[in-house]
Amino acid sequence: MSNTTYRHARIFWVLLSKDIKLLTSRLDALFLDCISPLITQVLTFGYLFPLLGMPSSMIAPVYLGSMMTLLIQLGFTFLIRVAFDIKDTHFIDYQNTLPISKKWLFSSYIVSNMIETAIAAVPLITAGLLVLHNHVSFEHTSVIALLAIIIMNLLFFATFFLACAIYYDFNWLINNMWPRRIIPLLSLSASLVIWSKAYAWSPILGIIMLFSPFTYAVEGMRSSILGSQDYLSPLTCLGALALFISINIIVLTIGIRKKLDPV
Amino acid sequence: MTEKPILTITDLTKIYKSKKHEVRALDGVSLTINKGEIFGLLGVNGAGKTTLSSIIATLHPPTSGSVLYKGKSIYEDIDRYRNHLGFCPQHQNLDPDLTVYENLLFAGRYFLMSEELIKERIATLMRELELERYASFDVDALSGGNKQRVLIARALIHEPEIIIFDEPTVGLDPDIRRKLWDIIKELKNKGITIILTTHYLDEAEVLSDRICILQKGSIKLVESVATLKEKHGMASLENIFLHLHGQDWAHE
Repeated sequence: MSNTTYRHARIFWVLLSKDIKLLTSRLDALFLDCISPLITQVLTFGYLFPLLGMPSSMIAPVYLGSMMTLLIQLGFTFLIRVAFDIKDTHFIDYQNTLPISKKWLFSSYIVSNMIETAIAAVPLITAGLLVLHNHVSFEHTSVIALLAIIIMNLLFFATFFLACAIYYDFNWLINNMWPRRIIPLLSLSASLVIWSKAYAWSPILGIIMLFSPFTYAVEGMRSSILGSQDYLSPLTCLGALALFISINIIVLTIGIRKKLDPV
Repeated sequence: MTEKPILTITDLTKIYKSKKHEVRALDGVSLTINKGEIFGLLGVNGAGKTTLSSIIATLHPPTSGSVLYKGKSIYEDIDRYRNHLGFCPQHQNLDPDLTVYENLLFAGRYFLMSEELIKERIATLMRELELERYASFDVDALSGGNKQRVLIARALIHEPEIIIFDEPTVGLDPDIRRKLWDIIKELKNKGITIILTTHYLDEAEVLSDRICILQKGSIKLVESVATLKEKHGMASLENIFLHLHGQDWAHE
């Protein structure tokens, strides 16, 4: 490791340690923010929908799909924080004059968000699965595939929301992010249906769903936890997520150049 | 005062492009800034003062031209240059999630200073800038003047050679402005080179050794305040500034 890389890595660690310090100070609030949607999702998909006739075998995949909203909620909060800073606080301008390269600086944003989302979401999603244990079979769970999918999901959500926060103007984000980006991507994904069933019902709809990254985020979770016979395989999902992450990074790079114009 | 240039700026141009417009914010700016001086950048809104100071602060790159620090391009070893530079931007961009003390603590850590040295520097700066009683305050709870002091402390934590003040007293009460002027003079006495961007002529007159008047992205003049007064036979910088602008308006 060269001297410069070593120095940048140390500053990266300082940036990250500051974010972790802030995260620990608001952990209780974060937990409260996540527990209420979790309880309602467990109740809705574990108990109320079955009362309306949803088969028991659907509970686990649909519950996992509903967890996308939790990840989106956390990502959107991150987006607003970054976008508001660019528009109003300008702390990012100070960071841009620190002796650290842009790659390391923006990596600290991404890793910090990944840590925050992991701390908030992973224990709660696991807790929900344990509550619904009568409807979930862990017989085909692949821990390695699950870990890989979790990491890629965290990386996807962090890069997606950071790219949007920097690429778009604040007013555009407030007015259009949900109706023009999040809702179409979520509705036209396999988050609340199983992709193979949607494809069997309408191949066109199935193909459209393949264009939404959320399809791979959720199907990857399903196949790594519940087994891949009914879902897109973990490998397919990892490959597709890698592709979407690359697109996010390209958009992020363009956004940084366009909006922040850093050295 | 030594006349040794610390910064040499040559033919600096900055063009902002959007889909509809192209704005030439700086157009062939060349000047030198000497070690230990207060160099005032003056001009009306849109003259290019903030663009020039943010290029010197390495916040934005120039479209063309060069900035040399002690004879070497600042982009050759940008980290080294940044370690010698403190920047007080126009926006009071402290970390809103941290207290005053924590803002300074992390600022020191960003420059990889030892914990012991950071604590020493914080104690000195807080004493000098009269910030001791605000150490545990959230930055949002501070007045504009105190935020400005914290910004100065943050910019000085790593003992830079050059400090850039971009409109440091905008929106502050007159008594607080005067106190900040004293702080800036004190920094000069310590040998720090200061680049002061302002559109307050009294401020530039009181503080600057030399001033540079920018107009529409180009340099109108660079002179010491005393030479300017002598040349134009006028007692105040304000009169000179209005006189020069009057000439331009007449030309237009």
